[in-house]
Amino acid sequence: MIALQVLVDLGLDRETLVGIAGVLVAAYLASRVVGYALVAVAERSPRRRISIKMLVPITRFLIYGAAAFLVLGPLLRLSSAQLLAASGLLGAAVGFGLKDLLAGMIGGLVLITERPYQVGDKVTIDGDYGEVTDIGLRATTLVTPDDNAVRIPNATLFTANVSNANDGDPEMMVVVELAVTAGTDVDRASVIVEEAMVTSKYVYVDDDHPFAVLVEDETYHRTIRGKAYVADLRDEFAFVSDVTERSMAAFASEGIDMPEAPVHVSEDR
Amino acid sequence: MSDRAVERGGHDPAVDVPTLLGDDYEAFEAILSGEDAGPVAVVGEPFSGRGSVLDRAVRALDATRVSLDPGDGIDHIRAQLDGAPVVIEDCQHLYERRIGGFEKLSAFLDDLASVDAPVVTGWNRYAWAYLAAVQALGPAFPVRVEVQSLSADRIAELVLARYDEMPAFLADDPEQSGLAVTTRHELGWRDWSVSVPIPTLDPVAVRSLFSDSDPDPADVTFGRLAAVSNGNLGVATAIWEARHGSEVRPSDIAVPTSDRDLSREEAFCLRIVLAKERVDRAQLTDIVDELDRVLGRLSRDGLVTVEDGLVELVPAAVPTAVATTERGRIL
Repeated sequence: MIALQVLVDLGLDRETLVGIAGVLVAAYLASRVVGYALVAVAERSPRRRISIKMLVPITRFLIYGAAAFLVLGPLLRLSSAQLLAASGLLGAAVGFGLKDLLAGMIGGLVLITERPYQVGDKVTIDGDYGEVTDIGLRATTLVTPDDNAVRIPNATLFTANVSNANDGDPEMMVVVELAVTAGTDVDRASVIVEEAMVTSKYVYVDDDHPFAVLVEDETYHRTIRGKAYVADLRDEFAFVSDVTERSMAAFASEGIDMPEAPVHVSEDR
Repeated sequence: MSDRAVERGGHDPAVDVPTLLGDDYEAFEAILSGEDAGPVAVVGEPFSGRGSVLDRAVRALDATRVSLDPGDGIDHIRAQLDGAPVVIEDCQHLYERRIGGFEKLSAFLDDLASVDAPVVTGWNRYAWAYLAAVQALGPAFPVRVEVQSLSADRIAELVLARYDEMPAFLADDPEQSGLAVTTRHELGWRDWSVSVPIPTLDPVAVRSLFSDSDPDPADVTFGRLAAVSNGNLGVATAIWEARHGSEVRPSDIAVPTSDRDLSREEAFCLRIVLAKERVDRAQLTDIVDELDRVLGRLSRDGLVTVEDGLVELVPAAVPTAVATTERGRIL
């Protein structure tokens, strides 16, 4: 009751409070429904999935921004002097305590306009690799291959390198590496890896998305490196696993040896 | 190896080759007349009339016809590549989607490179697209012709020509039909799911709304049949024969659909069957995980049949198979 009286003294009557609560609840529900609908539409359209998902943080920002305007507009009927004083206080608070938060929010706006990455992209930011699942005003959320959610402040954009594996496209190049012993038939091993890639259920090949197999000579073994695109970047690890398993089975049946243990060269000669 | 060349040619509807090939007919005739040389690839959808085009080649070239079946080797083909014209049907059976599955195809292409006589080959369109992407098949065939989609009028003419009795064409009940066609989609969030009806516009109903007169029910029916079958005569015929009764309405024209989304494994298996049209179950064992369950679900959905160790694509299910596998971007 005391709290309620305080609010009334500040000019916030019951009807206004109910209105504010209604606007906030409506904004919350609207952002959830719109976000859910956009994700459902994105999943039905593989080619535009990432572009549609990118709209989710944008629409949420607009909905909450509109709600903030509807709530604060009638409340903050300040005079010019009050507005000036509030601005000065806000500026001091920002300068001393909220600079990191503001940097994050500005980073969020830069993300929306420059789009170095989008929701659905596979990126590496400051050493963390994963799929971008959310771009908030302050931070970006990545889900790593181990299903860990990493929240990276958007301000990191200004100081760290950002590596984007697919740059907004649903398909992504995946690299599969297999080691074979130095004396084995490298040509046959390369053919096996190539055929394992192009017969995979996840592979995507066309003129703009070619595949390749490279052979690298290491000191005591050879590395067969296969590069191909997957139709959906979320199949990255399933593709690697599929190609690796089938290649290793083919290696075993054709007598192509793989190194069994790491090779250590003794320093005491 | 099958010697069912005549029988297989009889399964395809008797459609004139210029209609089937459209703009590609000129290039095809140039090969048959000897103006141009080089192996020819006749590429077409399943059940679209490739056989009729190959029949034309057999007659014009007085060629030996070889029909490939799942698991066939290439030795019989090699015996025919002796300098005389050859027509080889269903070349999609020359490969398997596994490690080591391209050896027969590679050997065939090596042999083809040294042949001077006309060689006309028939390919499933989806197998061709896959092999062109991963095995660079295109350059091996300097001439490629594609079987085209047929118009609604042509579909109507050819379908009705198969039957002595004409059904009665009726319009859909206006109270039952409308501008919107509602499909249901399952939406889930954690442990909670709901079936949501999503309305979409029926293009036929929209067109009739803006037309000055009531459209002929027969025209509407065959327009829908051509749209649903994508102008594929074999598919259209199968859809037509699936309906029952002496009356037919536009809403009777339907294809087998699944009321659920296919899993990746199911879609992959379906894509293989779509590309091969018929495939040995034994071939799929090494390629598809949990094959028994996958085939069980696909056959329950009416998309494939499994009989005597052979998995075959249901003709009426081609549109669904194409849409489902292309949505999953399976090559």
